Amino acid sequence: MVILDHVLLPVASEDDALASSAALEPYLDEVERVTAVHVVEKAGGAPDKAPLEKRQSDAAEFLAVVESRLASEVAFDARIHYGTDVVETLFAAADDVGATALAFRARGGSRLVRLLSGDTATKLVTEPTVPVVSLPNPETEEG
Amino acid sequence: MSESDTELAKDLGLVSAMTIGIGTMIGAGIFVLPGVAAQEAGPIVVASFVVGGVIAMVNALSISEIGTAMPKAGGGYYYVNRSLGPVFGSIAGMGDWIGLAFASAFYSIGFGQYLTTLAPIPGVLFLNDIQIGALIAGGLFVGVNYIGAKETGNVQTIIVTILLAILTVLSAVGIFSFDWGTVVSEGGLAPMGYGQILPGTALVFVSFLGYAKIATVGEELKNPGKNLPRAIIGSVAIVTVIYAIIVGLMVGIVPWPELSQEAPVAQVAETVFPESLLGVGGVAAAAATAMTLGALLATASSANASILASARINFAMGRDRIVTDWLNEIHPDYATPYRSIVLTGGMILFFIAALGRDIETLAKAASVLHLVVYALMNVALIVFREFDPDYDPQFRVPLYPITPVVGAVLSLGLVAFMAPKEILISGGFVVFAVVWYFVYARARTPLEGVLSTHVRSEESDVPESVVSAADAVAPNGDAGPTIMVALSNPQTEKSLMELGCAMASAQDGRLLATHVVTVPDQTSLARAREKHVERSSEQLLAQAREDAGGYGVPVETVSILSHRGFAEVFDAAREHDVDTLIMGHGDHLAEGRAERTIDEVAHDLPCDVLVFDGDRFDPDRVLVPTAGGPSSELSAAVVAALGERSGSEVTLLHVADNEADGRAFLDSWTETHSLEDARAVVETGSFEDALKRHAQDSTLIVVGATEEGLLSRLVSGSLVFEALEDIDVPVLLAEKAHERSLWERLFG
Repeated sequence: MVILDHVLLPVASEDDALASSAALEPYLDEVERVTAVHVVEKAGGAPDKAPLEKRQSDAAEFLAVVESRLASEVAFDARIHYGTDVVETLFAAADDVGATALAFRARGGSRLVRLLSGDTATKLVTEPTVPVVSLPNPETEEG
Repeated sequence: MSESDTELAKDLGLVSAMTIGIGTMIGAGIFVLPGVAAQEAGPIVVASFVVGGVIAMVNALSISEIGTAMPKAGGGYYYVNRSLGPVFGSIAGMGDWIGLAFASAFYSIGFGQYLTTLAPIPGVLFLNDIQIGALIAGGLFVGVNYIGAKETGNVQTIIVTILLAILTVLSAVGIFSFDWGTVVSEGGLAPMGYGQILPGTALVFVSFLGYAKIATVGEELKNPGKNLPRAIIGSVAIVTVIYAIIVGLMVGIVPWPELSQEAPVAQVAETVFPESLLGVGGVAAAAATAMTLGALLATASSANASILASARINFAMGRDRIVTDWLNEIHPDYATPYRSIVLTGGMILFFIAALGRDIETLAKAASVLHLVVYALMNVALIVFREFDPDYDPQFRVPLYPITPVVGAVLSLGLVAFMAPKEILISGGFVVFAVVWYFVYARARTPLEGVLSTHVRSEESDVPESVVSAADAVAPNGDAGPTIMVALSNPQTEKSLMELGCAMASAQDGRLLATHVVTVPDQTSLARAREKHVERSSEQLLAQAREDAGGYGVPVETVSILSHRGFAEVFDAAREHDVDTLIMGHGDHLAEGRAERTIDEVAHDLPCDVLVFDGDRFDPDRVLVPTAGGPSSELSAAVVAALGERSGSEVTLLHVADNEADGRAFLDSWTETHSLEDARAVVETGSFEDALKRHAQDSTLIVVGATEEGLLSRLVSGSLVFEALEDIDVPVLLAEKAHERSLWERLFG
């Protein structure tokens, strides 16, 4: 089994959708199928931080960006998942769709922002249940 | 999306929903107001709370009914806007929003009052110590919501459980210190007269402002049909009982003139608990501190819930373009509606600074604005019941129409017991909302309410003056869709414009006629301009305007010089937020073939696309082969538009394996798309043969792309549309935008 056979691609925002698609593009030759996922964080019994319908329509927009970039190149699917923990939900989604790897672009941001927003990148690499690939930024890549 | 995912999206159960209501209400009623309200009414203030509970309950019934019919974000604003239209929608939205800001400022002041009993806070400039405490608290609540602290459902439930436990202990102990003599010690039960009950209610009504917040998160509720009414009605019932018991005990424990204006619950706790218990000293002080901590928790949770609710209202208003949707942008890192929160937070802090010394004004201004919204909501309910055939609530108020009428009368009646100052402040916001509608929202909001649609419809028998009044306030903005016609030459101009006009006029939309002039790469755009390309373009567009004039459809024209041709058409459609794009097959598509990017471009449709392939547009006899699917919806819309405008004779063709199945499909399809007037034909056997047979009698064939990307393959020439190849009838190909299909895949 090739590791990039079926890639789960988390998408957090519109910018992230563009960056992640661009970052994955150079490797599409090795990829059979991409499932783009946006996780809507739920408060699990309290009202959500943001209106649910807004999160859903935003999610559809982000995923449409990825679809327009990737769907012509590989088998593509898009999904929205809901969970109280973004990272757990992503791995559950990977399990759900039978992804062979999770590929993501670390989004950077200051230490404070990462701390306050839960530092998803670190959790992704420290608690994986499928192989996790951190994609390089194609623009800064050397040679 | 699987079903379990849908369920996960709606994760608020009955208990969670109820704690939102109780948690929001209890902070204000018990911990802040009893002292102030007792000054106003004496011991009979208990009755003020009970009357408030009754008024809240009548409104709670109405909100429950509408809430089950449309469990949507935004609550009161959403209902009023859908029912009474955007003028009242603006009032309800602004009223609810500003009312929440007043209420949050009030809760913050309550927080500040208890905080100053715990720790000394200095006053700064014109602000006293309580205001400083309130500003710190308010800033904290806003900050927490901006970053979106990871609050799980249990926190709110735990807070409410703690509060209920504290209050239960307080009343269990307090009952032994209750003395009827204390109640009547200072001038009897109603020292200022029974007439003070209602002014007392006016003051304490702010203690009941939480139940409607449950409705603002209606979209997140599990089984809203059952849980919404239970949570709303249940939370009002519970807090009314708690208020009656606790306040009743308070006035029997501490003589009412001595009840603390700032921290009454702590004061009562200090009185009822013994100084020492089983040899341990400081029990009373500890109890008072526990009450103070409880009060901080209670007021904090009230303020927090209000800020969350106001973001919902902003979202619903932004979606309807009553306010700018810019406000609802989600923070990329924190996933919170940060702009909305900052703006609401700014208002809260302003109200604390400007009115924080006068807690009564904050409380009453919050109540007046909410009461106006409640009154409108009751009227909205009656309008829905009377005029909206699709209105189907799972919960229905008892004794209709008495309940909503009483609800509206009680709500407005209570406003009469407020002081002129609060009425003036709130009235100012109502006036602002109306001005806002006419200055900003009217040109933007696409929605018309059930009421105005009814009044302006032809069937209604309302007087002419009412109709013209309804016309005068109706939205005049981008009501209908924008239909773009991409013109390229005078030969096809007439056909395309005729189609565009028919579509626009049937959907009350507007037309955007564009002429994209493709300039060869070697010619500079400036050079092309010199070569009078523009003049010919102007002629074409002038012709288009003239043709559109006959239909009375608003039309705009744009001429674009570009090297990119086809791609530019899509970009223009995207830029102008076009809903449907109409283009000729021979025009842009043919020249597009040379472009390398064509496939990529056509794969990502900016909007619904109609491609006309033929010489002359003649909608006399239209044939619509259909097999369902998203694009067939578009062809149905086209046919409906043509039927209304040109009186086309429409034949629907469905080819199935057997007659019965085909008939069943076509019947339900025609019903869904309101095409019952069309002739429905079901055929068995080969699709191509059937199509050919029926095509001969037609002047136009409208085909919905049966699969995604059909257009892109048609354009790039990789797909031969065999069935239509040798039919010599003009064809209109319809393809829905792809985003739409993604949307359908995501939300089913």
